[in-house]
Formats: sequence, structure tokens, C-alpha cells
Amino acid sequence: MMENIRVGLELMVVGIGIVFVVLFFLMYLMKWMSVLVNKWTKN
Amino acid sequence: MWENFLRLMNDTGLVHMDVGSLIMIIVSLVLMYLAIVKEYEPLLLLPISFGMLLVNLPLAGLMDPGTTVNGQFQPGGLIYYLYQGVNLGIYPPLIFLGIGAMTDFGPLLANPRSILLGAAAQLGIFAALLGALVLNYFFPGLGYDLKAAASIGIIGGADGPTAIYLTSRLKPDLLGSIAIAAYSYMALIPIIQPPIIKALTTKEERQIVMEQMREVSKTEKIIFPIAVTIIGSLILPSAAALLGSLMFGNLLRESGVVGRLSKTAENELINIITIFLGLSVGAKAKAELFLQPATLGIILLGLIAFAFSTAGGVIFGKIMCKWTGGKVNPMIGAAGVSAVPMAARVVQKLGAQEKPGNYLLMHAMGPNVAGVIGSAVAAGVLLAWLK
Repeated sequence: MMENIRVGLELMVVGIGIVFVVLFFLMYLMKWMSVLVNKWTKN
Repeated sequence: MWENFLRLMNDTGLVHMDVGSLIMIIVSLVLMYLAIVKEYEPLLLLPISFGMLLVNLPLAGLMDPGTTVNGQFQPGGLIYYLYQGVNLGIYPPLIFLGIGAMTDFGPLLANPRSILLGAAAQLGIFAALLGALVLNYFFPGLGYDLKAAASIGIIGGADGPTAIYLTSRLKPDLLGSIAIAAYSYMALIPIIQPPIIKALTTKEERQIVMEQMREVSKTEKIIFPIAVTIIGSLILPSAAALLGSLMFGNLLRESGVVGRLSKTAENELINIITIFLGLSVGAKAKAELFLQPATLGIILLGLIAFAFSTAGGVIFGKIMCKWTGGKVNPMIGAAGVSAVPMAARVVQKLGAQEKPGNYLLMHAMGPNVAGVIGSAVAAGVLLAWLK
């Protein structure tokens, strides 16, 4: 059971980390997209 | 004649009613009351409670699988067949498709960094997961293994279809209690969130007025669902079903060329699936599965999950407030728990109470829809790890 808690703790750190990484990536995707679309529409 | 009468009586449900079934029928009636009179998430709580009622009626056999007697196939109960949509993971992505068709990602696209609030507000998922394992350490009778703990934790995503999807994949026996806890707490968001938000923020922070958001072009709104599907599914393939359906629904809406499909997805399709999903999930709440100490633990941990998710969002909101030199009202972080649009409405209401005329709804909608993506990603992580 202690082993489960250890895995749970690992899952917590890795899980929240992956959620942040994926959404951080999407944040930059949105920023780049807005810049590109703005350039494209101006041209 | 008397014998025939006794045989007939023996075939009625009345004779076979046990205490467990009776308690479950009373619970289903209470949930129906909450759905109809108090209007607590009635769209799902009503079908769930009715499914619960149906499955606990003795001898009705609505959840019985088909059997073969003397070489002849006897079909199973109606809800058993409806339940296959949950069992096979069909309904939750279809609900996501409808949600996608109803969602405007404009506020998120206008303020991309608010997506991080949707990530921070997933803290409750992992906190409740760990809480379930610790609780099980002290009370081993609860029987929470890693899969059960993950299913309980996902309540903190405040996203019914995601909770149902993950639980049906990892721990189907807990489906009834987890779905009921998730939808009940979602209905209680206006009661749960305000004290946590107030405890974690100062009056000055709550009074911050945010700048007007920029206009988002149609092109951005069309590219967004396609890009999120490709990138999200490449990074986390286990989230593809939920994320892909959500984004497909949104593409139907934003493309503007398939109005009929978009209208179907956000009306008829989601309504039909909601009925099937609700009845099927309620039917998993049979007395022998529901009336267990584990259910009490789920109710307690569900509340912890919601509280931690709200706190995670608000604390990250405070960090963003400092980071931007006071341009972000930290309360919008609380909307990152999904529960669209209730959580955003709570923030709007609190903002208006603190400073009349402060309009935070659209600013809170960004983290709110980001929370839907965040909880789908979190479910993908849990699935990939534990499946």
C-alpha cells in the first residue's frame, strides 16, 4: 500500500507536469497562430 | 387457484424487495427531487436518478445481459444494451462533440496565457488521487487501488463526460457513485467556490478590472481545433478520443459551412446521448455496488478534489497577477475547473459584488474552456499510465 502512495505521488508530479507542458505548448501555438494569421491577412 | 395466486405473487417485485434496493430507491427519489425542485444539474441528474430507480426495482432485469437457455437466446435488459455505449467509450466523446459545437474558444484565443489557469485547476485531480491512496492506507477496507484512486481524482476535473469516460475504462464498478458525486458537486459550484476564492484573495485583488479583449479572427477560430487535435493527440494519444471529438464539434461550429451538422451536434445528438448516458450510468448504481463504505470516501474525496482544483486555479491566478503587474484578476483562475459555464458565472458574480460594473465573464470563459482541454489531457495521462 505504501508502494501505491509512492506511485500516486509520482503520478501527481508527472501528471500535473504533463498537463502544464501540453497546455503551455498550446498557449504558444495560439500566440504564433495569431501572429501568422495577422501577417497573412495584412499581406 | 391459491397456488397460482402464490406463484403470481412470487413473481412480483414486492416479494423480492430487500433493504438495499429500498434504500437505493429512496436515494434515487431524493436525487430526482434535487434535479426537479432544486434544479441541480437536472439534464444529467434526472436521467441518472431514474436509471438508478429502474435498476433497483427487483426482477425488472433491465441491466441483465442476454442469456442462452436450451440453445435459445434470451435478450437482456434494455439498459444493459444502452450501457454498452458507456462500456465501449462511445457516449462521452459524443457528448464532447456536442460540447465542442457549443463552445466559443474566442476568449481563450484572445488571451492565450489563460490556458495555464486551466492547467493549474487540474491540481484537484491529482490531490484527490493521492488523498484516496492515503485514505486507503489508513482504511484498507475501502479497497481503493491506483485505478480507483485515479477514477475518484478525475471528479476534480469538474467534467462529467471525462469522469465517466475514465472511470468506465479504469474502474466501472465505481461509475455510479463517481458520476453522481461529479454532477452533484458541479451543481454545488456556486456554493463550494466563493469561500475558497475569498480565502485565497485580497479585496484589492478581487476588484481588479481586466482590459478589454481583442477581436479574434474567424481564421484563428478555424485553425485552432485542427491544430489542437493534431498536437494534443500526437503528444498524448490516449486523449485523442475526447480531445478529437471536442475539437471536431468546434470545427463544425466555426467552419460555418456545415450549419446543419453543427446544429445537430449541439442539440439533437447531445440530447439523445445525454438520455442514454444518464440512464446507463444511473443503472450502475445497484445497491450492492453503491451501498459501500467506498461511496462515502468518494463523496468526501470529490469535495476535496473540487476544493483543490479551485485553489490551484486561484493560486496560479495570483502568480499571473504578480507576473503581469496586476493586470489579471486572480479570481478567473477558479473558472479553470471546467464546469462550463457555471464556474465562469461564479467569478462574474463575485467580481460584480466586489466592484459593481466589473465584467469578468468573458475573461473567465478563457480558463473555463481551457479547463475542458486540461481535464481531457489529465484523463489521457491517467489512462496512459494506468491502463
